[in-house]
Amino acid sequence: MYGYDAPRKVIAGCGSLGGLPAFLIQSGAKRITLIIDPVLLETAPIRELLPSLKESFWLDVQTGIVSEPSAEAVELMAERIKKGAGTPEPDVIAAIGG
Amino acid sequence: MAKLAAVAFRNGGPIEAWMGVGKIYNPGVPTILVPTTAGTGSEATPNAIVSGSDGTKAGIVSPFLMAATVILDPELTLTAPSKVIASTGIDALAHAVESYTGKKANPLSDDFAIAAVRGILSSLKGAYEVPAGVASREAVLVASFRAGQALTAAGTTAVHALAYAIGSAYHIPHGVANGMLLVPVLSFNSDACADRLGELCRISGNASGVKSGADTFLDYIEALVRDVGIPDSLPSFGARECDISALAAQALKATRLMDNNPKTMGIADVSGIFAALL
Repeated sequence: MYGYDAPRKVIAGCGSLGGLPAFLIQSGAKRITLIIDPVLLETAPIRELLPSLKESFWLDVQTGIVSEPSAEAVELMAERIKKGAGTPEPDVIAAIGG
Repeated sequence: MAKLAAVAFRNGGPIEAWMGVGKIYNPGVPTILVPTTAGTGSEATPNAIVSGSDGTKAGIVSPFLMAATVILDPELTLTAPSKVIASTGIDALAHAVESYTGKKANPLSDDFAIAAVRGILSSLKGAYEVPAGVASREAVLVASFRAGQALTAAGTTAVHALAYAIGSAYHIPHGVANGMLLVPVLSFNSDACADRLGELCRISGNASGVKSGADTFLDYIEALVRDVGIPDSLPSFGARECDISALAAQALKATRLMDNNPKTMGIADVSGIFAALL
């Protein structure tokens, strides 16, 4: 017997990140937490993306994507997201980086 | 990081208590994952790797870690240095080859693994050599996602088990550790999966001549790993001969991966592989 699970949707191609706001609107999300690698904040695709996200959603941005983090770092990030989002919790967590 | 933080909202207990398979009991906040390197395949898997309080890396596996949506935009990988493209690309190659040769390989994982191997072998050198080459970076990004799908369906093997041991001990980047161990472990395994390695040789477009398909494929991968600048010895990371038995014992603790290896590996075998890298 083979077991398999997969993401529900995959969007691929150059410039596809620019479609994120429209995709989120379509999904009904209103409160977004964005976790992003800080080195990306000054790159062109992110500089274009952030204003349109801020315009359309309640947005909390947390920096600090780390591959293979320590368990402690994950717990700290979860706390930061909770504090940043407050109540209710975010509808979606988007992560750019890693 | 993000996958675990998303489930931390709705699950109690310390993160370290989730290490292993199926120890997260509630779904988290839905995630949209946008990778900016092509290698871990994390966006396609229900896995997360964390280091515990003792510094040891361990996997957390749960269907609740699966992304809701994935965006693969190669433009975001253009700022990644060639060195990172190399090590992450080799990590993805290891995911695909291990999934294809492991005991849990199945028709579904084979399809993903073959697509991933094709994509990586046709484009990794181009992505490494031409940083602005969007087409090759896109091919590797998509191949890395495919490799993640393959490992979700079939799992990795001893390459990753040994890589976690040296990665934790000497802070070697994960893809570099996998690159150093890929050919040595596949060479050890080759008599148990010669037909599968021979098939990968055919897929890679290399004709086997005097040598078998398996050996030709291993030569090809060895050259690729060297060409993209992956180091081939452990001492430059501070490893010493006296470390080997502890490293081998650590690698064998990754039973989920070692049990999936196509050939049983004992402590003497693992020690021999590490010793050859000194």
